[in-house]
Amino acid sequence: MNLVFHDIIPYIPLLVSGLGTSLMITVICMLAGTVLGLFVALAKSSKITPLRYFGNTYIEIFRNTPLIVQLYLLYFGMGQLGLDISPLWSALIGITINNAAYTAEIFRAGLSSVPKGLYEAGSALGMNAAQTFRHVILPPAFRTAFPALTNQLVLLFLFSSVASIISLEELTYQVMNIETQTSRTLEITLIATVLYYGCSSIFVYLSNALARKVFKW
Amino acid sequence: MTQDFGWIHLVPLLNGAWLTIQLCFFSLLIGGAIGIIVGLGAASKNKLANVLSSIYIRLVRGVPLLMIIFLIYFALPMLHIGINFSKGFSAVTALSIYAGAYLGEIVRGGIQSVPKGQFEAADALGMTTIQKFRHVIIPQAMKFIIPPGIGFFIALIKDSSLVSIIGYIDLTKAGKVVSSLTFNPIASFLAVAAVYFVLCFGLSKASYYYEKRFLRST
Amino acid sequence: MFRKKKSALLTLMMSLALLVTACSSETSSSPTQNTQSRLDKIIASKKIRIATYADSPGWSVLNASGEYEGFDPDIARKLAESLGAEIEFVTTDGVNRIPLLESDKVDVAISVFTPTNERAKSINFTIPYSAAGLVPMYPKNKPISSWDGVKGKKVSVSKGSTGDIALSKYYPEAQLVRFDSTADAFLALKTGKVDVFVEEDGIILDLLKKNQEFESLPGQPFQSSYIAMGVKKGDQEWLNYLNHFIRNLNYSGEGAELYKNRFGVDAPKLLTY
Repeated sequence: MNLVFHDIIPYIPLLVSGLGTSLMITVICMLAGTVLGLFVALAKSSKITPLRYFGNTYIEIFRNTPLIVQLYLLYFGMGQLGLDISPLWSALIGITINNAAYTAEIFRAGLSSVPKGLYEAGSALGMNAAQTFRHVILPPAFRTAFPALTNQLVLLFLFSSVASIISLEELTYQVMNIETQTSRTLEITLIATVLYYGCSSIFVYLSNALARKVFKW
Repeated sequence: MTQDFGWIHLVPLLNGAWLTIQLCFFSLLIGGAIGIIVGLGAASKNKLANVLSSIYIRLVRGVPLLMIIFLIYFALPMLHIGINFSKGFSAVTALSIYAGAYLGEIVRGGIQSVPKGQFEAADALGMTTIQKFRHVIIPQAMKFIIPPGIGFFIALIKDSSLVSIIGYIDLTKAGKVVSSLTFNPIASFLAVAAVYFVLCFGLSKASYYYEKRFLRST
Repeated sequence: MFRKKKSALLTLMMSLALLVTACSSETSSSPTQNTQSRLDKIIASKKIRIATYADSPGWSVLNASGEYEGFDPDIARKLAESLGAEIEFVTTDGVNRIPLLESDKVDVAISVFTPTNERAKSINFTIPYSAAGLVPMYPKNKPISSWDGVKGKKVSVSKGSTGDIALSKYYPEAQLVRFDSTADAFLALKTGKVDVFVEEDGIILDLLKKNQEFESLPGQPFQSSYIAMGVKKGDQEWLNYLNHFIRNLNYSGEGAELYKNRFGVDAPKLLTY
C-alpha cells in the first residue's frame, strides 16, 4: 500500500469549503430540528386526538423511511411538480424535518420522566399551562434529554453526508470529487475519517461544556 | 434500452431487502454480544475494563460506518499481512463492531439507570456479582435497554445500506439499480421507501409492545 | 473528569497509531514477484472475478432477473469464454473500483474505466476496447449551439463518469453539478435543476426517443477519452493476455458489433494497433 498525500494538497480549499457546508447544515438543522421536535413531541403527548394523531404519524413516517429518499423527493419530486428548491434549501429543510422526528422521541422520553407532581405544583402556584410548561416542566425534561440530544447531533453530522446525492457540495461530495480527480481513494478516505471523527469529537466536547455551564453538572 | 417501471422491478428490491435483513440480523446478534460486554465494562468499577470499553465506544462512534466497512474490506488486504476477508464476513464484522459500540452505550446507560440502592441490596443479600446482575440489575435495566435498542436496530437497517460500497446490492442500492433500468428514480425510490417503512414500522411497533410489557411487569 | 480526559487522550493516541501503521506499511510493501500470475490461476480454477457496474445504463446494469446486461458484461463474457472460465461479477461503483483491484478482490475491472494518467499511477490499464463519445442534452426551448455553449451553464453529470472527467478537464468554465447516477443526472435536467446533461451518445439517443422535449447537438460526439480495462499493478503476464484479447476483439470488428447492438450507434473509432 502506497499512501501519497501530496496529490491532495491543491484540493484543500475544496475540502475546507465542503467541511464548512457540512458543519453549517449540521448546526442549523440541529437547532431548527430541536425546536420543531419539541412541538412534535408536545403534539404526540397532547390530549387533543387529531394533534396526537399528527405527532404520531409524523414520527413514524420520518423515522421509518431513509433520509436519502426524503431528500430525493424534496429535491427531485418537488422539481417535477414545478417547485424548484436548491440543493442547500432541500438539505436544510429535509434534514431538519427528519431530525425533528428523532428529537421528538427524545423529548417525549424526557417529558415522561418529569414527575406528575410538578404539573400539579405549577398549577398550585397559580401558573397557567403554558407557564407551567415553560418554567417547571421544560427545564428538567430538557436536562434529561440533553445527553440523547448530543448523541443525535453527532449522528446528524455523520448522516448529513447523504445530502451529497442531491449535489449539495458538502464534505462527502467534495471527497468523492477529489477522488475522481486524483484517484487517491484510500488517502482521501483516511482524511475524511479523521475530519469526521475530529469534528464529532469537538461536537461532543462543546456539548458537554455547554451542559456543565447550563445544568451545573 | 430503458424499461418502464413496473411490478417486475419489485423483485430486485425485495432481494435487496432480504439481504438487508440477513446482514442486520447477524450483526445484531454479534453486535449485541459485544454491546453487553462493552456496556458491562463501561459501567463497571474495574478501571481497566472501564477505560478499554470507553475507548472502544468513543472510537467507533466517532467514525462513519462507511469508513469502518471500507477499512475492513479494502484497507486490511492492502497491508499485505495475509488478511483478505470476504464480502459477507467484512460486512457483518463492520456492522457488528459498529452495533457493539452503540448497543454498549445503551447497555451502560441502562445499567446506570438502575438505582444504586439495588446494587447495595444485592450485595447485602450476599449475592455474587453474576447473581447480582442476573437476578437484580439486568431485569431492571432491560426496560431502559429494549426501547433504544430496537430504535438502534431500526437505524441499523437503514444505515446498513452503506454496504453497497463493497459491492453488495442491498435495498437502497437495488433502488439505484432499478432507477438506472427505468430512468424513473422517483417511482423507484418511493418503492424503496415503502419497503423500508414496512420493515421499520413493524419493528418500531414491536418496540412499543415490549416497552409497554416491560413497564407493566416492573 | 480526569478519567474522561485520559480516555479521550488514549483514543486520540490510538487513532494516531492506526494512521501511523497505515502509513509505515508503505515501506514494507515491495512488489511481490513470487506469486503466480492471475492468468494461470484463472485457467487452473476456471473462475474469473470481474468488477462491473450495476447501474450504468447502456454500459452495464443489473436487470430485473438479476443478470448483468450491457456492453461491458458482453465484453466480460467474451473474455471469460476465451479463458474457459466462469464469471463471478462483482458490483462496483466509481468509488471502489481501484480499491477492489488493489485489495485483490477482483481479477479485472471492466467498468467504463477511463485510463487517466492519475489512475495509471495506482493501477495498470490495458489498451482501449472502446472510447467515450459524449453528447450534451438540453431542452428544445433553451438550446445551446455548440459545445462552447456549456460554458457558464449548469451541467449535470454522473459522479466520476467519463462526462465528469472530460468536462472538468476541457470545460472548467461549466458549472458541473455531480449526481450519484446517470438516472439522477438526467432527472436533474428533466426537473429543471440544470441547463444541460452530458452523457454517452448511445444513452442520450435512447433517452431522446422517449423525451421529445429535449434535443442534442447533431454531428460527431465529443470523443474525450478511451475506455480500458483495469488490473492490479505488477502482473505483466495477465496484462499481456488482456491486451492480446482486446487487440483481437478490435481488429475482428466483434467489439464494434457488440457496441452497436447495445448502444444503437456506431462504435467510436479506435486507433488500430
